[in-house]
Amino acid sequence: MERTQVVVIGGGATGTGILRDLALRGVPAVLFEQKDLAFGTSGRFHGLLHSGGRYAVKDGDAARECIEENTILKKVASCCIEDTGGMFVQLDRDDPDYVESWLRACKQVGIPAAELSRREALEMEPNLSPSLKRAFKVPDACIDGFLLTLANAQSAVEMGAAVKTYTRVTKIAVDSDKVQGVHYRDEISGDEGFLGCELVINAGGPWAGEVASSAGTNIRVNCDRGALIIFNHRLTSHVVNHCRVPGDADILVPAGPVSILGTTSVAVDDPWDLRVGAGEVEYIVSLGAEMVPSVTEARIMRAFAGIRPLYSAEPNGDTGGREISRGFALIDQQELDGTEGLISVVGGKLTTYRLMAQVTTNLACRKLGVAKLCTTDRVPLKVLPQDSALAEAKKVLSHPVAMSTYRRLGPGLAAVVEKVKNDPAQAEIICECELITRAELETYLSGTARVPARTLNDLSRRTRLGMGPCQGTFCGYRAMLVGYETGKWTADEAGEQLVSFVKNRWKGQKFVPYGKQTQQLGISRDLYGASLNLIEPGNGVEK
Amino acid sequence: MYDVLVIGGGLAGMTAAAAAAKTGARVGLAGTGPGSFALGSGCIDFDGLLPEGEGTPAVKCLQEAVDFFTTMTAGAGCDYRGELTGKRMLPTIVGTYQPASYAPSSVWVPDPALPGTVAVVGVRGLTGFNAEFIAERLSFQADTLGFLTRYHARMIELPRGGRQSITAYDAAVCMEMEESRRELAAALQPAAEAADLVILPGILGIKVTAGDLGAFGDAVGCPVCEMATMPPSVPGLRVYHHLLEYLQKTGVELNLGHPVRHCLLDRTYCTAVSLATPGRDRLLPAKAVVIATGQVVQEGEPGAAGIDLPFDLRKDGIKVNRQLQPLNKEGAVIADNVYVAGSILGGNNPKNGNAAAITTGCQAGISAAKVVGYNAKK
Repeated sequence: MERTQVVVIGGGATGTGILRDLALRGVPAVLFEQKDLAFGTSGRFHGLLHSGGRYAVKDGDAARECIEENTILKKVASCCIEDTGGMFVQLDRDDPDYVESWLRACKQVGIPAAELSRREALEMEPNLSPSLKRAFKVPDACIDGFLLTLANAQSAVEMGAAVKTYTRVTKIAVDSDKVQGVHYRDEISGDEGFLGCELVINAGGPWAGEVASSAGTNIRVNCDRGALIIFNHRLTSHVVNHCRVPGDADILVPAGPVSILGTTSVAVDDPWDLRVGAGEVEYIVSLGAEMVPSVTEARIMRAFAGIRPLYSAEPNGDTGGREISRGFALIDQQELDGTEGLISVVGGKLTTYRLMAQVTTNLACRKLGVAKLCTTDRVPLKVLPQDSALAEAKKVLSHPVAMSTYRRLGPGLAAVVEKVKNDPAQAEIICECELITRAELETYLSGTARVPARTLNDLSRRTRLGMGPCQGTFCGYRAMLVGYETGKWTADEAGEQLVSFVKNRWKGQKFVPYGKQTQQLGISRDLYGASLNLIEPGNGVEK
Repeated sequence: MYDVLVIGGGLAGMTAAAAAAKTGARVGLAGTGPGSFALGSGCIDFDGLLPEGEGTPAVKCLQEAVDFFTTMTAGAGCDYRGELTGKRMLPTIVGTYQPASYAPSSVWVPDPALPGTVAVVGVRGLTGFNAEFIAERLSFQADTLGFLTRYHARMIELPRGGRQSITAYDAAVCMEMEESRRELAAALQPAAEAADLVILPGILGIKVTAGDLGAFGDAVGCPVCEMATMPPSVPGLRVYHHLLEYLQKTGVELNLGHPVRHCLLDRTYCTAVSLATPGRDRLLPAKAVVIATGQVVQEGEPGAAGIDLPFDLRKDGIKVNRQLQPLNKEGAVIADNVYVAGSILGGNNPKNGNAAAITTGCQAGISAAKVVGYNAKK
């Protein structure tokens, strides 16, 4: 029988963070993800690395966690972070008393919040509303959830862990009140199997309740859906927060080449319910326009929704097994109902993923009798290459291509450069919006990749393919051919990949009610519907 | 002062302008771009538009529009093949068949249901075209549909091709030169020998005429067809290029590159159209106007080209009467000398969007000319 020591369920930032923490402490582990890495909440947020300012007034403990983690991650996860800095802005109509209490709270928690003069603030962010009254600089930053999750998984795999994407745990086997292992099914190949283990860690995020029930236990996860919109370029160079009681659409983040504005909050029953509601886009734009009026004229590329998995304790007030009450919860099933070998970690936010992983892994190690301490606050996720590697890249790739490849790949840049040196055709640009070369895509498709992309949509999460203004219409076809040409997919499979990819890209665009992107979507539908006769127009039914 | 001013430079607008010009009217055209037909192969599919029963007045009306269009394209040097009630299955770069009633002659392949051997020829270094992928999928499709044509893939080097990847557009620019086409024809000889038809990605030049393409086929020694690539797609751009030239030749004045800001209305009569030209707007007075601005309204242009319309175009399209005059909510004509054509009419199926464009474009152009006193000539 196949065996490992720990099974981690859930390939988001938390799950991969736990996998890496375990690997760093020498504990063998396998991670199962039902879709792809960062498919869930870790890939569906605004990309903000919180300074904690947002929580300072209401939840000092959460705010303190944020600023501590913010400081740590800027050191160890710099490969996935752009340290843009952030601003809290008070506008004419905002309550001045809130600003004062916010300042006091920041000071108490230890969040540096330096006041800028109105003029300084407008010089730094000319697009801010003229009704700006006061502005404060905070250490917010932008963090790439896709890259972060991937980097954690890659690092863990390098140290001997395993990651199985598109592999659903169908049942957690429990015998005599003790977890024995997991039954799983590969959703792409259809292969099924059983993996024995001593401990299962449930990091399923919005799906944590489902995971728990597969072990015959019960965890209450409240799904709270937030909608966000993406603009086709950066509208500000800093994160901009509205300095008032936290509410809807008061954060604008310059996330890589785009800006993301959000969010809303709608309770939903189903973690798969990722719709953007009617009128939500207009609602978000109208609120965002209070801070940055030009959002009304900016091009919206797509709208999307993510689910915040919020933990709620049992209604009877039983808090047994809960180690932490702030923001996230760690649930030891043994303390709840005596089932040995199942830990669940629920709630939290991406900014504190490392801390959640640390606390969870600490408990796991205690149970397994492993004495090693956590080092994720010291060991960098990736060692960034030296400038000479970039200079080498610029010999074979144009400056912008080299730079964007470097930003995405970090140390992986060398492999791409090597491929292009051996075969100049590898420098072909497959995605013009994000400047992705054939070589880069092949790196992710190859069987030697640490966590290979299995679908065209995976390539999108690995590289940002199709996330620019064309939304995959032109690059999707070429990327599909790369998969076919490398032998990853047969002609038939490649065609299916393309259909699924294009429909997925349409999904977010159809929520955009006006502007250039509706024309772009019209072109895409005409092209794949009428001209190529691949996808039935209108209803999106496959041919 | 124009007799007829057409707003919109897509297939509907160009057809309307040509139809109006043919009556002898003085015609102007204002547009910002080629519209979506230039992004594809330029095919026209009447599926879903054909009324029941051959020889009915409705079919005759469609046939008249099509005859006008095919005469126009032949005169423009980009002739079309096909028939109103027929359907040809044309292969695509995703290895499917796209049904078409009419298509530019360069993409109009022999009927794939009949026996034949087709060489799908890829070009080394050309981005977004894989002959093996296409041949494999087409063979499967043909089998499924019971077609007798067989496909196999070949690869050639583009004469003078470099080591960098190129787009179909790059290749087409190179193929404008007769010498390049001669070299390409020579490179195709081996593939042509064992085939009844050679299919190339659409790269054979944008300015080349149907005559040039015929000569190219002769040089290869076997019929040659093109396959539209991802945009920029050469067969569609070629039709666009030739139609623009044709319009200029027939006296249509082109005002391209500037969006329309307003249609100036004097109660129910449109007197002029203002163009958002740099610096200050330019006023184009006109006796009649055709609106063919496409399915998606430009930003900053609520309503079609500045006429305030009482509904949301994205959802409803414009309501018109049988003469294609726009109507308000109460069903009254908004402007007596304004006509509407193309996908802005709404309720359209993208599959037959081009067919609707030429039919309504032709009718709107003729109606607009008629209202200012010019009658269609046979």
